[in-house]
Amino acid sequence: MRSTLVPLTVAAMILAGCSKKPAPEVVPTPSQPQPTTPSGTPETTRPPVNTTDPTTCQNAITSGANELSRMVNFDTDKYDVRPSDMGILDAKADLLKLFPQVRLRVTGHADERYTDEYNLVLGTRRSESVRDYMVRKGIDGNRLETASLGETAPFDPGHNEAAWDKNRRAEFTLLSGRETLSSRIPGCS
Amino acid sequence: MIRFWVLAVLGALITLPSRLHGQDTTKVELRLLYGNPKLRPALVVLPAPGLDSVRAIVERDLDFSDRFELVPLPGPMDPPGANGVNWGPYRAMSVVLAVDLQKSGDRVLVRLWGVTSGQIQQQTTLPVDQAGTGEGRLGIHQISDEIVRWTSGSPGIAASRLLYISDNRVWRVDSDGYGNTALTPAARTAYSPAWAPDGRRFAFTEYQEGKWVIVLQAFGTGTRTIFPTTATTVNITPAFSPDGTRLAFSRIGTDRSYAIHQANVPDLCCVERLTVTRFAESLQPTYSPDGRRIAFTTTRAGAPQIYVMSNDGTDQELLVPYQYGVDGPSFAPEWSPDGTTLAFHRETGGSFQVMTFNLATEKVRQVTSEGRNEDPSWAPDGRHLVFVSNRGGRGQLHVIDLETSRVRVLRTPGTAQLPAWSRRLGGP
Repeated sequence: MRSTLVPLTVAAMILAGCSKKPAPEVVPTPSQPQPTTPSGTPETTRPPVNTTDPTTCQNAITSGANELSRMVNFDTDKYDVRPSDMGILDAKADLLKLFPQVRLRVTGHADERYTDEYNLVLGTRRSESVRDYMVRKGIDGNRLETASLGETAPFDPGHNEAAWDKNRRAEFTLLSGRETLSSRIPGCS
Repeated sequence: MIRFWVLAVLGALITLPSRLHGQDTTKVELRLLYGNPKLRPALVVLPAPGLDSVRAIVERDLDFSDRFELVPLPGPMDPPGANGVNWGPYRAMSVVLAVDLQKSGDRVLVRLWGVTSGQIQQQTTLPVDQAGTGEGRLGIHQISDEIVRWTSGSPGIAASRLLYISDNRVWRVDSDGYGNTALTPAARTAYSPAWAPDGRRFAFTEYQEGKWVIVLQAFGTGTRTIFPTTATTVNITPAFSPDGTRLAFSRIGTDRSYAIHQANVPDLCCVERLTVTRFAESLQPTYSPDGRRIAFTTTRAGAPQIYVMSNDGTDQELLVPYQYGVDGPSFAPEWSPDGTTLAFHRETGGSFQVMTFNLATEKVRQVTSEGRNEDPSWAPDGRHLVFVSNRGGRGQLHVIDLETSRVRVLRTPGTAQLPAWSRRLGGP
């Protein structure tokens, strides 16, 4: 249930700019005051004056980036996307469709238990598996760079099941397009 | 055959002129030791006034050679004097051999005595940094290796070093656990160090912005050379050919699977792909000592197992047999210096254990059993293996003597991974 709600919620948040403030209109209405020059004559060559609170734009970027950065986890020795994590990837797919300039690096990680050097392979398979899932969701694979850090960068440095659960993961890095995450909000660039 | 041996001895005489002040003494006591690697005669290192550091290093080296039972001095003993040595106390302790180190100007006179006969068996003088620090330690280790050669016919392994990974950096340590030094910066992630056969530089793979780049780094100057074409791809597990002219490694190919590639080292060029199995991962290449074959791990039949091919990629076949459904996956092969054996680790009983595979008999032997043990690398004598074991808690380097099964810990400041043992270093 949660997995289907996540993408809708996030997309709505991005479109709204911020979850806690009343949502500004997405499309400017005729009743909105038009920007004018000091002399009173309409200035057509200038972009519209930014009347939106800059915080709203920043919040949109931050919440979009946070959603795009949410990691997914994997079962031991497995690299297929877990059904419980599909919603996280679906949310990213929705955002990638909304913001076509965004590119991501997917970095696969492993826990420390398998052979050190093979964990690089496992990390690669995990990042490729995530990319394949996104491509099936309609995202151009060229927008998703894959990488692997094997077991070299644990999220949790512990040596126990709880740590290993967190360390088997794919992380997401925004390579480009971060600033466009507010572009759907009027007044934000 | 006889001619071969004559040539071999002549070759040794030519290459080691300063080392063979061959005394014409009876070598009966030494001959007994030849060809019996399990025999560990009792040996004492005599007092060596003014050479305390040298003596301590040699004594430890000879212990780590696993070819002697080191006997500590029974108390304050007289150093060898003009009247020779009072052998009584040593004979009472059943000591068979004695090593005697004396200052001889800026050199050290090294003598090996047969305690029963009271005769000098071998002697030489070597130039040695008598302080025994830094690079000077290597010269002292060479004394130890010469003593081992006198008694066993082949030199010891004291004058060698190891590379390993700790905290994602390449470190180097002397064979006796001294001189731990980080060789790569903390800010970068390095993995899988490999010695160039000449001991002057090493290769490793470094993470850079989503890629794994093969770097060649010189020991002396620290000069880094990024192997061309590896900066834009993912390249892991490098290994030099025994003559140093080729580098094998695993790269993600256009089909998105890891495949063994080979490149030309002198010209830094000409990367060619050797394995082409689609949807299978091949990595961890290791050359045979004659350079003609490459063993590697591959998932082509499911779980990783160890295969072999010619160095041009032909004749690929399973090398280390396994019983399907019984033997676990196998990893990290390394060819022994004499070419007769492969060391690797295999999953068994829910953990990893170091194994050896004898190519002649096709028998697999389990070498370790305590804790998790992995990533073995051969010492230059082909009789010792270093591997990572967690038997003491964190992963640490352990050295096992395959003849006696003695194990010692090679202490490192942090958790150690992926050790690689050099050849003998600083030779004549």
